[in-house]
Amino acid sequence: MGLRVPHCVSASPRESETQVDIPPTYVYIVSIMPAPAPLGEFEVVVLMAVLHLDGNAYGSTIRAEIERRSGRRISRGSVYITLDRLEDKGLLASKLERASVASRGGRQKRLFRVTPPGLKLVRHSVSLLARMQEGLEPLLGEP
Amino acid sequence: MPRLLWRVVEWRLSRHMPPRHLGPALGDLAEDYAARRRSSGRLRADWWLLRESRSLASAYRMRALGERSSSSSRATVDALRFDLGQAWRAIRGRPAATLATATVLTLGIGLVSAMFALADPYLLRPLPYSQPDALVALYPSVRTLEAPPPTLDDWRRRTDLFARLAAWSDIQNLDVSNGDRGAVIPAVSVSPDFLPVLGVPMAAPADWRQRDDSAETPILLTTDVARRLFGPDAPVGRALKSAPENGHTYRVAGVLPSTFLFPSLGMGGVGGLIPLGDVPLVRVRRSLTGQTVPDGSLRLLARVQPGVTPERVSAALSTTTARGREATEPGVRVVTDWLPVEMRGRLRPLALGALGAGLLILAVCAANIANLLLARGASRVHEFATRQALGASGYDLARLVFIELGCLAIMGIGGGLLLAAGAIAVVATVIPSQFTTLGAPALTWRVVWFACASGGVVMAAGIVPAWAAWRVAPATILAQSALAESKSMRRLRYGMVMAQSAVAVVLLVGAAMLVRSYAALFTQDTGYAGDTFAVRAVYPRSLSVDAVRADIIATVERLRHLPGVSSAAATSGPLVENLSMGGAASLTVGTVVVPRARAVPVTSAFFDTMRSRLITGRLPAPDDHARTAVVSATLAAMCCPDASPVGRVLLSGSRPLEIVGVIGDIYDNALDQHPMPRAFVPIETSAAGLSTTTYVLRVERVGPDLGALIAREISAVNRDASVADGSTLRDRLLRSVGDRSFTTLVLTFFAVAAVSISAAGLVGVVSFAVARRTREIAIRRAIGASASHVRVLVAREAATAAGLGAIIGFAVGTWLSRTLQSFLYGIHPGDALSLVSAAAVMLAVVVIAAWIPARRALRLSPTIALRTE
Repeated sequence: MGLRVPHCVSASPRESETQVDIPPTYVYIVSIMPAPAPLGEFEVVVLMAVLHLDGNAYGSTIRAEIERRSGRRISRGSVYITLDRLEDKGLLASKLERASVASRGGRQKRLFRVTPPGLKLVRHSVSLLARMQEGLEPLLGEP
Repeated sequence: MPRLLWRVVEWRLSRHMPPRHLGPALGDLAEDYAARRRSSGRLRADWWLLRESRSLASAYRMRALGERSSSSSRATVDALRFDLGQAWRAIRGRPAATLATATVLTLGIGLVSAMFALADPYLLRPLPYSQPDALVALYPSVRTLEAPPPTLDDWRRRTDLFARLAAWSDIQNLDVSNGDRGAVIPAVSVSPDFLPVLGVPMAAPADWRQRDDSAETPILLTTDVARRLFGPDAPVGRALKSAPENGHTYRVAGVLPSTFLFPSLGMGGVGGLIPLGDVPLVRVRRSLTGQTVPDGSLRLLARVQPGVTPERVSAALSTTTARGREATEPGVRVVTDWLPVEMRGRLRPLALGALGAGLLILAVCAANIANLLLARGASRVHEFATRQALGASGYDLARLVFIELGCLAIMGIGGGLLLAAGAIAVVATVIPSQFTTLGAPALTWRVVWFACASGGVVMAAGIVPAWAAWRVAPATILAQSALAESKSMRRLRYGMVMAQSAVAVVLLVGAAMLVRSYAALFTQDTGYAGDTFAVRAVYPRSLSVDAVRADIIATVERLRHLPGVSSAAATSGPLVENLSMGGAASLTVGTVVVPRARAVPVTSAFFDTMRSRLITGRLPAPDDHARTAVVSATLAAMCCPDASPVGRVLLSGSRPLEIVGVIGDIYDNALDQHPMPRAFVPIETSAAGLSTTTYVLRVERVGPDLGALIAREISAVNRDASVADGSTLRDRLLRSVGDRSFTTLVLTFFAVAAVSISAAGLVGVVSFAVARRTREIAIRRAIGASASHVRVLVAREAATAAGLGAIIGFAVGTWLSRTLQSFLYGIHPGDALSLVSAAAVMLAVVVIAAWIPARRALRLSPTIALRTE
């Protein structure tokens, strides 16, 4: 998470010269970025989908699993980007499947599995939710 | 798997995804694609694949840009907003260049859109009939009656050819009134199935047939006529009395839809439809020798069976008659054509030509825009290089140029549509009726779409500068102090200047010739005063010459006493109505026979009323009018080249006449037709040819009801005379050259636009040359170069290119001017004055366009100029 800097950067030493705008959205000051946040909801969902698929988790199946269980459409981009991010955080590991399949145009599958730290974080998230839910049963109903 | 599609997808993803993830992602897509293709078909699957890959690529791109949100649509909107902001800043930061570009775009798009609006009825606008492509127009002509002529029912039974067949007959003018308002309605008699054949959404009245004279006849009115006669009241069921008092009554049976168009071009002004009685397909009449001969036939309109062509119809219905032993001659000949082809046909090539000229201007515009942007792009290398150094890709820069161009194009389309609307409004007032037979030009949605498409064409021209922006490498700028431009680019830009200048000069030469011709038309002496008011009357052919003559003299007498009329006269035939006056004749003056000369019967006050110019001799006096004649200058020159014809004898009509004077030639047909030899003879001596008579009047003031007043006087003497609308001779002269006025106007407009556009292009190019050489100019100025030296230095290259283009255009224009031959009057193609004036205009434009930016170079202070690098 970056901090937005709401001003332009002048790329020229003189005012009369060309001034170049950089969109404020794209400028981040890296040094003050906060520590990694706890898992977001979608990340937990993706991790759980990988757990459900148990050995056959790759882009298409993960997306299909989430769509099947949640009943809503998920964009392919968001799934892939989340998978990449979770892998960068070390919560997922991926490997390319050796044998390529003809129906995939001869392309390999990138199979994912949840790493022990990933499993730990999922457990943590689930128990956190459960603890937070205690005492709210009259409002929220039984899980 | 369609290979191309997958290559596109792979290319798209490869630009944003890490390479090691690309293969598996493509595999996933392929798997889902295969499933989708099985369930919803290939086309949907392809479409899904394109969308899916776009969203995936966009998500990765946004991640690369550091966008936290993975919602691709929001990110796209953000990026677009940013790009738009940048483009707007760039546009606003250079108001002069923006103005030049927007002006060029506005001119190009506006002009081509106006041209399209004009040509559209003849190219794309559908005819207002249901399935017009199955309609065929038939014009049967019968040569002999040796075999019994075919009947309409014979042909209606040809169900192998026709689904339906309708007939219509000649146009006739109904002079009717509803009690308070009167009108002359040009009406056509049509058979009951006429409207169903056309597919006009309107039911013909059930009793659609001609009754005997005592009963009422149903009539269908066009929307215009109904409004003119009845205003906002409902016209259906109202009665129209035929005037004068002969009393036939028409009952309005309905009003045709406002889009109704009579399916024959010559009938553009049809105002009503009446039932066709029991008229046979082929009319017959008895000739002078007592034989029965064919006398014209009905015209037909058919909805043909599928697969039937006009050629087949023509072949099936035409017959030949044996003539002599071997030769045959056509008995019944049927000329057929598809109705849309027939209606559009004549003007379609003209429309295409006009549209082509418009597109040529648009192409010049696009080249100009590319040129301007190229120059601007070159002057922005610093900016682009800095952007690149900060991480913008070539794609980002090209996108920036494109979005800038898009903003300019939107401005251009808006301005162009405004210009087109203005041009259409102007054109609508001057366009001759022969160019609006299928409907007047209008700013329709199709025109708007066309304008947008034209904007798109100009956007395509932006590829050149976008490509140039893409190629900029940051190192080049730091290495070069001057504004960089490769030799080939410069050649390209000067080539474009040359081409524009050539096109402008070609149009300018044409326009100059037409303007000269037009001026020549209106400076010639027509032989009469333009404010003379004229009304044509046609008397029934059944009347004897003496009876008509008596009526004419009586009418002139009545007209002379109308309030405000100072003199009145009559002459035989139409006057300045662009109507042919029949076959050639000859006159005998003394012993000389003058071919193609005609005697025109006139009443005594004719020359005074027309204000004719007397050259020699005298005008007939009231007492000897019946014995004397006056000849025109052309006739005088033909019969007596060396002497005056005054005193000689003219043999014409019933008795010899003494020629007493010569008057200036009278332009009695059209302003652009040289006067023929004429002898003006007393109406008392004419033996024939009085049934068409034109009354001329000298009036104090031409009021709106003058024509009606005169018509009433004419009808009062002979109620069977039909009277056409009156107008002044000046109006008639203008109308007689209406198509020339229009062609001149359009070509001049084009030429002015082309010259303006190429001037704008020249300004842009010279400005760029100034910007590029600022430092050099400053150094030269500092070491003592004169102002004129600097001016020549910066303007030389562009002016040379424009000058070369002008020379090419001059040669091509001179050569092409031969094609204008039929539009020229009083001058020859290659007319020196036109060529010189076109050259002078272009030269002046080149000098001014080059001088303005060159002046700017001189105003720069050397110290500032040296610092800018």
